[in-house]
Amino acid sequence: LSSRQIQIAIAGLALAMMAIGFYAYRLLEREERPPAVRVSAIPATSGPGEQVTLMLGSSGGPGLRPRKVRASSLPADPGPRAQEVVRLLLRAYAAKGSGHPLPAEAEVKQVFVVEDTAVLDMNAAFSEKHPSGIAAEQLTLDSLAQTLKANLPQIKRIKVLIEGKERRTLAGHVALDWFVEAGEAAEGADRK
Amino acid sequence: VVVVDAAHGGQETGATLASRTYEKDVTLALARRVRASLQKRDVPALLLREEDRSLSTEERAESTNRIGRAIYVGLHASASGSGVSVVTARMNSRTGKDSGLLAWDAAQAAYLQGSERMASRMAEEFAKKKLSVHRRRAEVPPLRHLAAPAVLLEITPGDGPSQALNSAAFQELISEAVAGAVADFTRSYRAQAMQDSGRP
Repeated sequence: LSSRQIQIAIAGLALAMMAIGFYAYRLLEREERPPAVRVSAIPATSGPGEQVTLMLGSSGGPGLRPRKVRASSLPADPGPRAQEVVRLLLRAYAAKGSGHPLPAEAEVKQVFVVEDTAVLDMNAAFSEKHPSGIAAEQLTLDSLAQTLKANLPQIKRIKVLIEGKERRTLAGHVALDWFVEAGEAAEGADRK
Repeated sequence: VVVVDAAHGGQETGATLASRTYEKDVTLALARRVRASLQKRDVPALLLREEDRSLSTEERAESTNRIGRAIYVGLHASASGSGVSVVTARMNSRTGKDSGLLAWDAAQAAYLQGSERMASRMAEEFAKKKLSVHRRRAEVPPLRHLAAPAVLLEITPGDGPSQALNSAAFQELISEAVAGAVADFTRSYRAQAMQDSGRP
C-alpha cells in the first residue's frame, strides 16, 4: 500500500468513528430524555388523542370551571401522567388572553403520586414570578388540585414543592407547608 | 380589643402594586384608618405594627393570642383580582383533634364559626357600599394559629389603576365598612362572652 492509500484509509476510519460516536451520543440522549407528550402552545379542544379536563379559574371570577382539552398521548403511570396534566394546565394559564395569567417559564419538574397524594415539584419561576396575592395564589393551588383530581380520581390532595424543597408560601401569601385538599372550595357561598 | 394587622413590613414588601408602591405601605396606611374608624365608634383597637418593620407570622399570632378575647383583622392588598376578598381560614385534614389543648396549627378551629360570622357581616357592609366582594377560604398564615375570631381582607383596585389603593377616599371607604362591621360583630361577641361567663 502506498502512503497516500494509508492516509485515505486512516481518514476514512476517523470519519466512520466520528459518525458512530455521534450516533451513540444521540441514542444515549434519546434514552435519557423522558418521552415527551406532544401538546400545542394552547391545548386543543378537539382532535385525536386523549381528553383531559382542566379546572380553570380567572382572577376575580367565580370558582373553577372545567374545560376539556386533548393531548396526543398521556403516560399510563400516575406520576408522569399527572405531570403532563399539570403541564397542560400551566400552558393554558400562560396562554394569551388567560383570565389568570401565570408566567410562561413556570414548569412542573416532576410529580410523585403516593396513594391519594400528589407531590408536585415545581421550578423556581413558578413561585418567583407568580402574581402575589391571596386570591391569585389560592386559585392556582385549587386549580392544580382539582385538575389532578378530575383526571386521576385517586388524587385527593396535593403538596407543592419548589425545586425539591418545601417553601412557606407560594408568592408571599398562601401557605405551601400544607396539603391542598382537592375537594375544598375557595369561594364562600355569599359572593356578592 | 380589635387587633388590626397590616400585612408584611420591613424587608418583606409583599406584592409590588405599582412602581414604588408596595403592599406593606398600603396595608399600614389602611390599618391606621381602620383603627381611627374603630376608635370613633368607641371600639378599642391596636395595630400589630405601627411602622415599617417586619414581623413573623408567629409573632403576629402570639401577640394576638396573648390578648384575651381579641378580634383579629388582617389587611392585604393586591394588584390582581377584583373588589375586596373577605378571607377566613381553611381548616383541612391537618386540623387537630379535640385533645383539650389548643394545637398551634389548629388554634383557629375553635373560633371558625365566629370568624365566618364576622366575615359575612363584613361582606354585607362592603356590598352596601357598592363594592364587589368575594368570600374566600384560604390557607394564609397566621390565620390557623389565631385563637380569636379572625378575618383577612385583600383589597384590589378592580378596574382602576393600582395607585387607587393609595387614595385616601378609597381607603376611607374600606375602613368605614370594616369598622362598621367589626363594631357590630364586637357587640354580639361581647354579649356572647358575658353570657358564657355567667355575668349579667
